[in-house]
Amino acid sequence: MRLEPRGQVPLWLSITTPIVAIFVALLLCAVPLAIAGAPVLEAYWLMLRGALGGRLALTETLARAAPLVLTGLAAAVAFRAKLWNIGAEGQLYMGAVAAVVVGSTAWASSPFIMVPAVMLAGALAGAVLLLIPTLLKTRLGVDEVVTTLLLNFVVLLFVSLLVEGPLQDPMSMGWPQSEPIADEAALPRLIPRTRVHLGLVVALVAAALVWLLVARTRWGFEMRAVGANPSAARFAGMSTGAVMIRVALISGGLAGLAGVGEVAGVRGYLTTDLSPGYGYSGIVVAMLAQLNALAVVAAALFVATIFVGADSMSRALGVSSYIAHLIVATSLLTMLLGTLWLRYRVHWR
Amino acid sequence: MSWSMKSSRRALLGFAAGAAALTMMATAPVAWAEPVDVAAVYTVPVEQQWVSRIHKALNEAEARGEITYDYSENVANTDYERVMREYADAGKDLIIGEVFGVERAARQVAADYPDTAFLMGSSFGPSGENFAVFDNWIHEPSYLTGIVAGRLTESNKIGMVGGYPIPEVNRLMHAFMDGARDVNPDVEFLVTFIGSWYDPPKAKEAAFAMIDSGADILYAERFGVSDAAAERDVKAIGNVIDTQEDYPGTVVASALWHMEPTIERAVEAVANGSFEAADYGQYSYMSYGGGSLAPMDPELVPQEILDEVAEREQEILDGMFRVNVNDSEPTSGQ
Repeated sequence: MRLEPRGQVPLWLSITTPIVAIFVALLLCAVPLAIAGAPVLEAYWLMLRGALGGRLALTETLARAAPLVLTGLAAAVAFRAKLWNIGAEGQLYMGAVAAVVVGSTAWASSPFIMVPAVMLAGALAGAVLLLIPTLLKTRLGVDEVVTTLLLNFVVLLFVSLLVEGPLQDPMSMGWPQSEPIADEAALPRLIPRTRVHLGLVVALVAAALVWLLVARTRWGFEMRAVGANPSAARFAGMSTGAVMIRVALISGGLAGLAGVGEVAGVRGYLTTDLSPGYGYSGIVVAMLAQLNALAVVAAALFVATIFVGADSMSRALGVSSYIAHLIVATSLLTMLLGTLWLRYRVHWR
Repeated sequence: MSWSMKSSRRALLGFAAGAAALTMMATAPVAWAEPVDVAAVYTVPVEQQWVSRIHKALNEAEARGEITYDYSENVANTDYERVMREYADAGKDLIIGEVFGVERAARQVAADYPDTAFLMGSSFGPSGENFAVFDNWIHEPSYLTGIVAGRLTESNKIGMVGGYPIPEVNRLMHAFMDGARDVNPDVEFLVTFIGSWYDPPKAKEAAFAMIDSGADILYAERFGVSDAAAERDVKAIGNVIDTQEDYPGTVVASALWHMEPTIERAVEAVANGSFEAADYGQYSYMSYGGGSLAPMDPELVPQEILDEVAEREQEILDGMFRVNVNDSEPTSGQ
């Protein structure tokens, strides 16, 4: 088997491929669903309804998508410059830590001061965390795949230390959790009685800004150039080190913002189970979107839809919630294969 | 601590009997027109020891036709609020679960759905009009297992491995320690918290360390401890569920939690429209049948200890002996 890059992708192909990919995933998942004794067609109808049918379903899907957009952007920006940031999960948690440190006491009475302060602190914390492996890479040539990945576990242990020590809420009765975010610093809910919060707007604005940056500015051009060919970029007079650092600050900052949203918009306090792997899912989102910032929004919505829908369906039909996880994983795999198929022509020999 | 009294003992016994009779009347099967629509949200699989007790009680209530029962297991805390809202939106009458990781959010959901009854495992008190709480208040049977441990230990060192030092764990540990100390003042305790609710290898390692420092009985608050005890041939004490059959010859006594009295009362209150934000914790007490000591094997525990435990058990049931409630974090050497 040989893969040959496609030059120009025909429009009909780029439209039909994702549809076929989803169809294949649903076909594959029909087998375990049928084995579990669920009516397959009804299951998929319930899945659609569970993700998009009604106010609660729709807002839950949006709330789930918000952090995925941000971690997806974090991965997309970094991968564009070939900075392999696998550490968005850790950067997310550092953002959450900073949000709690800055936002758990109401030092200002206005949310117009506190909310931006919390966001800034979170973004900075995420950026600084990614700066460490990036400097190790540019100065000493240390492989950032290893360092960013391993830092995730270091950060989680650090968070565990904080919520069982200096940041632990004295009112938590021994539970390992931080003091709650003050009301003035909490991200406002956009729709009452739902979990959609200001973080969704932040994520969408970030996506637009990142798209502009990458596609339309000199900085973006340098990022793409360094990613495509570092030697050529250096020969053209660009400082690859400076570009890498800039990329790291943006990528880590975006992941940190995701953590701010989760702690100040959803949960209200810091725990070690704040994120169900949003940092890692962000990598999948970025790959699905082929590193395009606007497509990241669509990819994040897709992942959130599948997750919320499958989860709700498993509840409605009384099948194991693990089948929901299976549907999510299968859909991601077929979608990734679909994007590969879009970029390459396959020759069987 | 036990009350020393002679003259009023008879009067109190009479009172206790009367109270028991009243309790029985209150829990006698009541037929209501339609089964109560119950949904439960669990953060762990229903096999997990704590949750398994709730699941069992709800399944039995469904089998009796008193409720219809839906549940979601293994729900991450991130998703917990959504699942609660989904069930509330679907018009469930009573939603049961555990909100230890989402105390604030869960209370907000309850406030948003005033017509739904919520009965949640929680470290805090009830709130609003419709948010009631429960917990595994089995400090009484824990005290009784402490007597067994205090009598059986030869090295006078007892090891205790817990999850997190939170009130519901500390309380049972202290009761167990009180029981052991009351029959054996020389006993010493080694205490470790592993910082997880489910990490058998870590619990096992902590247990091994305790056995290495001389502990010959282990209080198995978490999974993994009894495995360590079985491997090194020391004894273990079970908690919440009966593990004596799974570890024959190792687990010598277990303090059991029964959720049935709590569920029965909550369901009945919902059925007749009298549900309110109350603390259901007391229905896990032995006098309500919410806690008990699993039957012990006379091959493993000598008859005189069995008699001693049975006597104290009766005193607790009669209201003659009250087990102390101490929510502070236990430490080694206490």
